[in-house]
Amino acid sequence: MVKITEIASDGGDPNKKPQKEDNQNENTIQQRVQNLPIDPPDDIVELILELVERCDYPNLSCINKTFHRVVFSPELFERRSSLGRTEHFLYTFIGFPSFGIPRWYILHRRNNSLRLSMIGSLPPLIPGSAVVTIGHEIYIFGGKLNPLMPPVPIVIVIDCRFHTWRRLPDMKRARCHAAAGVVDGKIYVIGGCVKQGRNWIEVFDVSSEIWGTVPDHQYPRTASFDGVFGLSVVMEDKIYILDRMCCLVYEPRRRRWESWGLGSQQRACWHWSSCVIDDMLYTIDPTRTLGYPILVFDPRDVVWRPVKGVGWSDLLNLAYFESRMANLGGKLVILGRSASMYGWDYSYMDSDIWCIVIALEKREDGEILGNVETRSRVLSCFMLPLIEHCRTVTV
Amino acid sequence: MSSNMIMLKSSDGASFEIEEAAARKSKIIANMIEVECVDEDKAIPLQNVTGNILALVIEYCNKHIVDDDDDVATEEASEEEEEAKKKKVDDWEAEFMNSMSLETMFELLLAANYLNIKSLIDLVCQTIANNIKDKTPEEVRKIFSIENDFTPEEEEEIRKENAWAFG
Repeated sequence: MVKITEIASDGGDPNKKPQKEDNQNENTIQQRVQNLPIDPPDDIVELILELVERCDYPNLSCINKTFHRVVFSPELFERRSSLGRTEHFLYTFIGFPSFGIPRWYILHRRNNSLRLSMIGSLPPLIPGSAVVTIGHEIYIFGGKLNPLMPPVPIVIVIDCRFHTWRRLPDMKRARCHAAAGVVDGKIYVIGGCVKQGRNWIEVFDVSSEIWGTVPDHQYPRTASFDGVFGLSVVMEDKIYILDRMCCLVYEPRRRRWESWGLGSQQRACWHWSSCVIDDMLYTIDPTRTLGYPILVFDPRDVVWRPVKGVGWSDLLNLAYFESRMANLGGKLVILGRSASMYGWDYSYMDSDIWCIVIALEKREDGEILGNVETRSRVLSCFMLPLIEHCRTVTV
Repeated sequence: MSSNMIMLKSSDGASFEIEEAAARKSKIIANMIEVECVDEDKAIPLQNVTGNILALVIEYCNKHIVDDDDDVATEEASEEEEEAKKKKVDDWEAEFMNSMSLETMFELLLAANYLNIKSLIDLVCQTIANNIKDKTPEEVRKIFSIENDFTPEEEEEIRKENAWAFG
């Protein structure tokens, strides 16, 4: 890992026998050493940067060309990963309806406070696209460029290490509001198009970047014909899809479908803002079914339980259905805007986005205890925001 | 254990005597000793390390060779003793790193890398890492005497690609 040759090559052979010591050579070294400033080589800079938090990288990349080159090298991130020094980052896609196009934002810490910052180098998301993340990448499937136009088969991947993006091979079918989930390192994209013809399910191999088909799959009988789905999540290697009249569950390993109707536990309680942490589904429940604001569903015993320790006042009166939850390294993060009204006629709304971070503890009796760690205003908005997606990556 | 002394010579001609066991902390010197490149009467020339930096390297090696001996002697030490000893080493290392300027630190790192002393590389890297976080590029350049080799246009471009972090 530490290459000595690079430094030694211009300073003399370290294995050289002392007998052959060359005085002239020694003099040139002396000059070189006196000729500071220091220009540390890449491998030295890499050793330092792998110990620094990622949020310091933008600053450090401005120091000189060597630092910049190392910050933008995949090797640095591979080293961080092999040392177990990866960090979790939340990316969210926020728009201001009727004002410009929505953009990607990153949740990061600056001057010791959390904030959302827009990433100008990333392209806007096609409305209605399905989003999944694997490692440091965000994959985006299909959508409609314009509500009046047909869906597209376009696939885009964002590299969150460098905030770059590129197009991947198109899907065989164009889709909008498809379900998507990662199982065994492959991405399954389901529906988003009418339930007939071939390739209703397609599977993308991330390493070879090739689309495959799922042979002789059956359509789930109860699925909406138009294939327009709400949220989809993966728990225990099964893809759970929120359909209008049921919850569909697809198990890619056995190519098997299950379906649960409106009255079922599987279909109950969850909605757009829900997320999965540790194979359990978390949701905000404004209907107060169980008396607590946050509920958790365990697919193993098919039961919703309250997340104790988090009360209504902890959630700052969020606009619940507009909020988005995400799994940030095992912690539950809620992004949302406060629904509180102010002013003498209650006409003024707080449109800023708040972030609530909740640490979760699983107790022996299966109950989940939440502990609100931070509540902070992370984005000041001059008009009402719409949080469309909220995903985490590991960088 | 061998207590052979060997001589090291810095790039600016200063000579240092060091126990062979301590010198072996450097993979490069250990390797030279293995292949018998070391003539007993002659100093090993270290052409990339100046005298003041070599003195620091030797101070570090001497300190850690003693610690390694302790390890062998007290194999059955209790957990508390182990912890106390580790704390002693940590304190010494903190004091050692505190005693030098940040600029010296960078030179020490280059020397540790050249001599291939893994534990010293780790120690200096961690100290430098702790010192550069939350600093502006200008501050880091100044502290470590690093030259800014960007053109103004390049710098502007880099600021732009990282705008999210500065906003």
